Amino acid sequence: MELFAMGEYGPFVWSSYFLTLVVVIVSAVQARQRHRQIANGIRQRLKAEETNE
Amino acid sequence: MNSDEAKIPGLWHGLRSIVRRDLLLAWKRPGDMLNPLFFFAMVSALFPLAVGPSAEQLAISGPGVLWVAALLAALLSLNSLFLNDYEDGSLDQIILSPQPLPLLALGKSVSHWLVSGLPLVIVSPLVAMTFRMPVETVGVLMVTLVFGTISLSLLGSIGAALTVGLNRGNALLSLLILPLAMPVLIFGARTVSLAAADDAVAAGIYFLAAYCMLAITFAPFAAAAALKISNE
Amino acid sequence: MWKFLHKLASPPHFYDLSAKIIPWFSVGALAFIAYGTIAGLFFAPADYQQGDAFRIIYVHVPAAYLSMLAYTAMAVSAGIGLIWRMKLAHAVAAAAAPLGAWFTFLALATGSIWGRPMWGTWWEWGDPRLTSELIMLFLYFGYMALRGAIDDTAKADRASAVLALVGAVNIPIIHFSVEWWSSLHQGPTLVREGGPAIVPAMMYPLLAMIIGFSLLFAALLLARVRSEVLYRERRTHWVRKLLMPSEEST
Repeated sequence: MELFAMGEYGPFVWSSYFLTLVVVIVSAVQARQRHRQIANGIRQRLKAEETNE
Repeated sequence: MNSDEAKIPGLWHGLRSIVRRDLLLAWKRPGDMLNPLFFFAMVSALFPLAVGPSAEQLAISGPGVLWVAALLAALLSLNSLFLNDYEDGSLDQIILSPQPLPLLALGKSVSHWLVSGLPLVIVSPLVAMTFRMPVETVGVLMVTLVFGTISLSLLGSIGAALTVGLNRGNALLSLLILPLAMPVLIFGARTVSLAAADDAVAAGIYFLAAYCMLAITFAPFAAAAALKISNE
Repeated sequence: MWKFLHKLASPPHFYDLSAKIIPWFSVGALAFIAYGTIAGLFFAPADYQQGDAFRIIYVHVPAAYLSMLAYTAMAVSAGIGLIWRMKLAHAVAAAAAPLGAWFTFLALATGSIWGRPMWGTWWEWGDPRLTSELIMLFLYFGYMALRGAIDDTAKADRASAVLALVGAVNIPIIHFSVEWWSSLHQGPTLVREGGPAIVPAMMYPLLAMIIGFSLLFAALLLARVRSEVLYRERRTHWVRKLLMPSEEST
């Protein structure tokens, strides 16, 4: 337990590591989401063109 | 071919004519020239009203307030730097002209400074007096403002060239230029504060002069490149 | 060599190759960051001045480093795109900006959290590094705002490239001016991060974190560039073939 208390600085240390984790995850999810969105958009357009033909 | 080339006026002539044209245009619409001045005076007046009239406080905050007001006033007038030319189509003519575009961009910056920067420098002692600024400090303020406003006119010409023809260009322009203008503000305001505290001011003034030279050398090229991109 | 570069810059080839590289970078990043985090949190000795609060630098320094790296990547690729008219380079610049903004934000946030126990305040204007990072964040916002305001991709690429280069020239000047400004300021005595007598047990986790974050940045950047490429090439044959494989037979 003492290990996690980080002296008196526990909240500061853990909150900054937690924040880092959040930023890393958010940026990774954002990158993936964007790729999916763009691919889906193009797919939809291609399908629409197909039916028009 | 040779006779055609001979007809192209010289570089100096090109620079002079674009400055003269812009000054004439500004003369016909004095609002463009006066608005930034009123803005400068009003923003400077806001601070004592907000912070309180105590003399010591005004003496401390004076240099910073005047510099922030000058920076905002310079920004205010930057939006119209290329906008009128863009709207009436003369920007196309400027870009197509045989003169090198960076030179003409420099000309636009020069006329912008003459119309908005120079009057601001001239009016600044009046506003500074209301902040109880001692006379020697006012001299330093004017010197820093001269270099600072020239730098801002040049730096701003890049931003104005990038945002010309965009919707909401004005807010965008501030967002682009303010972070880049930070060094000018820091050195300008700090040098005046140092002068007010009877400290050495040479370093700050040298920096502003160097920044100004750097801006004169490079900004017209960047502005010209930006103009070509936004107007294509 | 030129042939290889040319091939790399061709969008379909890049799209394939990056898909193969990203997992390797991610695994490497994970390994380095895992080691750095565990060693940094539990095995590195506490700093004699800052106590355990110094462990924040294991996330703060890599984030600050990435904020600079991202801007460098952005400006260099913007320059390449502007001079050699290379579309892929513009895509890299476009992809680097939001990542740079994220890591700049992280550097600011962790710096501020570190400052709270060290300086007794969440924000200390007298610290030149925090102030520089803040201006850096504004630069990223400006770049992204300009890009967002221009609808035509090719035009947005070139206009924002000019801005990125102007910003790159200004960044050293901004750093210098902020340093000068804070040196005049009689602020609280700042505890230097790391300090001169840094022991290896403190140093290795930091190095591992920096390497790990760089790999992570590379992986995220490639992933973002892939979507940029896909969007920019949306009207080409290879994208059609890639996304609608059923059509191939017809």
